[in-house]
Amino acid sequence: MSQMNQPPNKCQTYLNLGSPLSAISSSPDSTKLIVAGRDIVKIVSVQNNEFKVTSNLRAGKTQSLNYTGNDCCWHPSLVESYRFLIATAATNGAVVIWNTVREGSKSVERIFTDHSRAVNKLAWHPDKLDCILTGSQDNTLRMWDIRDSANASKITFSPKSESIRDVQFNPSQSNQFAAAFDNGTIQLWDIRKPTIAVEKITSHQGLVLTIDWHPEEKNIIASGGRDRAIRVWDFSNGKSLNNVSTISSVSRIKWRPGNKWHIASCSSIVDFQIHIWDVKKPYIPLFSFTDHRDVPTGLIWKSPSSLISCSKDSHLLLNDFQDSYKPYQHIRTSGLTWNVNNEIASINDKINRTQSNESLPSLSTQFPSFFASFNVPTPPPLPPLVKVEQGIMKIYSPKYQNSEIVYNERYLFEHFASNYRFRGQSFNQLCDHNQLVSQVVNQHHISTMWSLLKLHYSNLDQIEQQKEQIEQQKQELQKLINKKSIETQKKQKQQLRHHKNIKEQQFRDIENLEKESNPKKIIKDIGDDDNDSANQEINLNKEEDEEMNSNFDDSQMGDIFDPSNDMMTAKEPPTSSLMEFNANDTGNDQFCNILSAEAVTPLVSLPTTLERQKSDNILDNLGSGVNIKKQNQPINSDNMDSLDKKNNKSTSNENKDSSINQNQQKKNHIKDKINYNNKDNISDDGDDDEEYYNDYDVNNNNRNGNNKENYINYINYNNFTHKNINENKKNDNYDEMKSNDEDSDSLKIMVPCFEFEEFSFQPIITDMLEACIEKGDVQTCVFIVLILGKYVDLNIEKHRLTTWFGSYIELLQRYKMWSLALEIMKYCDDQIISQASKRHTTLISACSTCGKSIPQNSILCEKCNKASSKCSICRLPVKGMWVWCQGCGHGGHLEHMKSWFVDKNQKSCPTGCAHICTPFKK
Amino acid sequence: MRVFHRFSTAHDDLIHDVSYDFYGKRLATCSSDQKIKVWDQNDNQKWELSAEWKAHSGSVWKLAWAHPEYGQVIASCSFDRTVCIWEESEDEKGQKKWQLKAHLVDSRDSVTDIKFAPKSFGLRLATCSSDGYIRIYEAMDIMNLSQWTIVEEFESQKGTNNCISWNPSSYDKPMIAVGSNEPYIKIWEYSETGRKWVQIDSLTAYPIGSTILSGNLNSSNLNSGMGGMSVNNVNNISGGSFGLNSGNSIGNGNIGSLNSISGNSLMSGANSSINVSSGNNSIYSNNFDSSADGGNRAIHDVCWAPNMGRSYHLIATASKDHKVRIWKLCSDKSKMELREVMRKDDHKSEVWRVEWNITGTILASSGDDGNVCLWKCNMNGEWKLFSLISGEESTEDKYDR
Repeated sequence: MSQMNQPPNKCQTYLNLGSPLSAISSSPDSTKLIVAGRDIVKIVSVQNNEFKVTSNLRAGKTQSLNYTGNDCCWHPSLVESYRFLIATAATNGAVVIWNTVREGSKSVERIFTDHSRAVNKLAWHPDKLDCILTGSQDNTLRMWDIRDSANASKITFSPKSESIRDVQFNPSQSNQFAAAFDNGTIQLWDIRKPTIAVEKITSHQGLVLTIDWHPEEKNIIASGGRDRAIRVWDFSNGKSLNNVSTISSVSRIKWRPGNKWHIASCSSIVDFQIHIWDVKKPYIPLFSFTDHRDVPTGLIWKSPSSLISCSKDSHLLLNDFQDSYKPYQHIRTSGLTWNVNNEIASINDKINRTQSNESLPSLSTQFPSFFASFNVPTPPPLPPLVKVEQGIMKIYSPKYQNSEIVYNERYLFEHFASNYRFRGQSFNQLCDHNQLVSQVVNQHHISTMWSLLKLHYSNLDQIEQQKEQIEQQKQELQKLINKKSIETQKKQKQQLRHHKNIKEQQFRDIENLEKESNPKKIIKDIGDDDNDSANQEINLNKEEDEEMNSNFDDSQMGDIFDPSNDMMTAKEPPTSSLMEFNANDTGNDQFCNILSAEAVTPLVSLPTTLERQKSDNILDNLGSGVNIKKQNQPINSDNMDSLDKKNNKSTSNENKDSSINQNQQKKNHIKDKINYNNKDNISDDGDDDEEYYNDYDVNNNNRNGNNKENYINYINYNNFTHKNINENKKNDNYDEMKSNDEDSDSLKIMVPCFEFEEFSFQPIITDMLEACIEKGDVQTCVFIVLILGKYVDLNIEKHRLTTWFGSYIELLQRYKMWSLALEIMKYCDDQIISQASKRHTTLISACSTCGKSIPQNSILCEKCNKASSKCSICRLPVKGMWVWCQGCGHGGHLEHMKSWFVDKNQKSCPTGCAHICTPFKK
Repeated sequence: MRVFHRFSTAHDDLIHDVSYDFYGKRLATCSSDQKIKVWDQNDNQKWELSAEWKAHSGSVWKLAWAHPEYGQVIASCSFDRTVCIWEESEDEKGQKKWQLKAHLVDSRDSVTDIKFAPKSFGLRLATCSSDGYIRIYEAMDIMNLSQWTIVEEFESQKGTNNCISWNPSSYDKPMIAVGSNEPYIKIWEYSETGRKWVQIDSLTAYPIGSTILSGNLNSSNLNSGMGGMSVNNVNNISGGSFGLNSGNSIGNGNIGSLNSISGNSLMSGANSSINVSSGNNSIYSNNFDSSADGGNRAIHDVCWAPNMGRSYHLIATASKDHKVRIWKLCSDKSKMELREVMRKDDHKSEVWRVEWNITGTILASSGDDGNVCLWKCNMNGEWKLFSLISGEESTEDKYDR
């Protein structure tokens, strides 16, 4: 209630009458108002935009229900003897005629009590000045003659149409009046024909609460009802002209003078605002007065732009148009939305936001009587409306320039998503692969990242292998300890020590060799040696593999030829060769720029050299890639087998070398086809991957069996180096050497080149990732983290990594790449992410015979003690993938079902239950 | 950008919103004609009307698609003060039909915006309404969408709230940005300790052109940092008379620091003296007038960019003063900092919508001029106009970089 007493802030003037108001009516000269409410009948003067109570008609008469003001109506005539007459209607059915000339108790002229229930509405007859019409809750309308004090009720209309809510004389035909009924009809009556309605319109669902004749258009009437609609009717043909829908039941409506199709409305519940509508624009009010704190109950237009209203909140308000809330100024008429393809759908409806300000059409001339008292100037006519096409949806799609092939973002994303790899291969191979993947689609900055990554962390492979070997060795050791005595172990150790020495010797030799010749030369030499076709080479390599297995140290050879591993040889970068490369460079300036930009590391000249080589590598991989890659694949697929890792590595290195040769031979010819070949390449890889997954277990087992001897060799070696590796797990190989006192000689050779141990690449990589994120490429970052994260602490907050993975997974889901998303989830170290995949899916299986649910990981039904899911083809219990027909419930092994329905092209169920399991199959 | 498809939605009145679903395969439009229409892309890439229905008894302002994990669900809000939840389901004949699942009627005024929370917070819906309240609903049982519980209700701004946007990151605390007729956004976050939504009161906003002092910028060290210059420290209690204070600080030609304490929000900015004297870059533009409809800097739309792993957040606003703004929200332990990184008025008219693309790299804005502007960050970290799509019926764009 405290709120009620606060003054409204957006009105011209207001008056708090202290009691809820239910109706107002204006004197014919519009200087005074009669205000009626449950406890109040007062006359208020309106002068100089100010309200002032001039008299209280109910003074001293508060007891009687007769004087409650359900409705009130000032006599519309300016004739002297009538202009002071006021009628009020009471909730007990009494109609009181007041004469405001007299004061106090004498002011009551007449009291009519014929109505048995509340009188809802009063209407003075426009011509017969002594007559007043009342509509009541008792289902009747009465016509009274106020001169007859004893028997005033002259005519009674009994339409048998439930309660009358509103009644109003037709301004153009004074013998006619319209009445609004609770049954949803508005009826046109003629006072000369009191038995039956002239016209009847079913206008609303439920109650009709209010009607208002159009002041100018003949036979046009507006009605408002509990069905929240304002409808405009033409009584001449009974047709609905307009339908305005408001948000709550309409209790009062009033046509706005001066604007032909504007109408004010207020509601009886919920909505405390007064809305002014253009009935031609039925959905959004032109403007709204928002000041009342309870439902408004009476509306009077003082002028076309100002409105007097009363409300249950006791306030009488005078609002001017400028106080109003103008919805058209606050409406969003543009829609904008993006989709995953970076397409924009947009709708931009033109809107005239100032339409509430529109100047008034010259209608005032048509209401001379009304406007005479207001002195309304005649405004100029409106310009004709230009019809603008509305509601046009436009969908824009991005246009990419500078590319013959259209790489849109979706294409790129999907390309990377499906081609990037983060497991199943060695670190260097993964980097190479991913670099290639980005190279194919001309994403040079990304490919540079991968090559830098490989450059910085090329030693990771060795660490990884050593780690794995340690793991195996631990396991094997465990077995050995169990089986063999300590003495035998000692013997082995001695042997190993010998072994190790040999290894170191060889290593030193290699170092010397490198120092003498620049890396490219080595590669060239070897390339010349192996100047055979790729196929042969690989066979050769396979043979070599076996040799290498027995001689671990040889694998170091391979590493030397790995260009990225040549850092230690680059003390004096071969500038001449660099020049040569630049000369050979057939364009790709962008690539160069990025490279030079990235080369702020202490390895200034070095990475450039290596990159050159690598880009050559790429080129020939691209060129000869189709064959080589295919050949490579089966070998690569064994990578998980840690024993073979080294071998493979050298193999792939060999391949690269050979590729370089091939490249040199074919360079020009190949370059034309790069893009084409690459695509093949990648799709082939995909296929091979699948195979690899399937065969992985089998291979693994076989290998283990075959290489038992090799195992032992390894273990022996590892056993020896175990200590060192443990100490230096996170350092690179050089550290390892350094810390080994026995190898102090070799140390001298290594150290002078670069002091690697003092330099960490991690901040650079982290910066690189941040820059990538900044560009919105969370994809590459996720893959780098997946690959590198397990080796290197990237010093990125865990929370942020979570958001990276989370964002990427959500993107994958948007692109509907479910299995990739799941794969990332599975292999992600982050607990929050990896658990997300487990949260939602629950599989509950039930026994097919008894229906009892079977606990997870169990095959037998606890109740029947039978295997529930038997394959209907092989009759064996199915463990693992189980497919079944939704119709007959029969099914079995995926393979069997596939062969039955696909290979044998059957339609019906294999059990012979006659169910057609594949009805739609052609 | 080029027009790919163009078709008439055949709504009977102004259209207020259009929205792609999660996968971008469906579109929903809503209009003042109280209808919602759903459009599907067929196999020939043509858009076809798949459903339309009368949704409300007032203008339908906004639409939101729920994450598809919860089914095909649309929420709509309207002038009729209600929010409706619609779900597409199949009847016995296999006919798809949108059904009214829930009718949320708590608002006491027009509901101006609705947004679904990030999926991981459950099926939650935030609504903002002209009655000043933010209401957050949750479907407790996602299998039964007819039951929605109001889980939070708080008054964000006396008077009207125009727009709302969730922090789309699932891995932060739940946060929402709210735009109102006030010239700045408010950011609310769910406090685990208080178990309620609280406005981030340690939020400091730096408009573009503000002098950023090294180190942590707080009020005291701002004063000291400005040396001999006199510092105007205006505390604006009501928050309603921004223009006056702004004018005050400009009039003095000094460094102005405006603190508006309405509720518990704090917004302060520092301008270099050069900017203040030129007057163009002052914190609040001079053309502020106190109209009855609230500030001329009313925020019409706010959009929180998808995070995509960034260490900060980007929030875009569209406002009545013809500006598109991008704010960078950095959090540093207890302190939050809102820094304006872009302010552009290329629309030359009221801006009504801002929308980020899926990766949060391009911002689209549209306004009364009928154009759509695309904004992108260049290599130097500056946000620039990247493309302007004219609303005119021309096939060629004005420029396309």
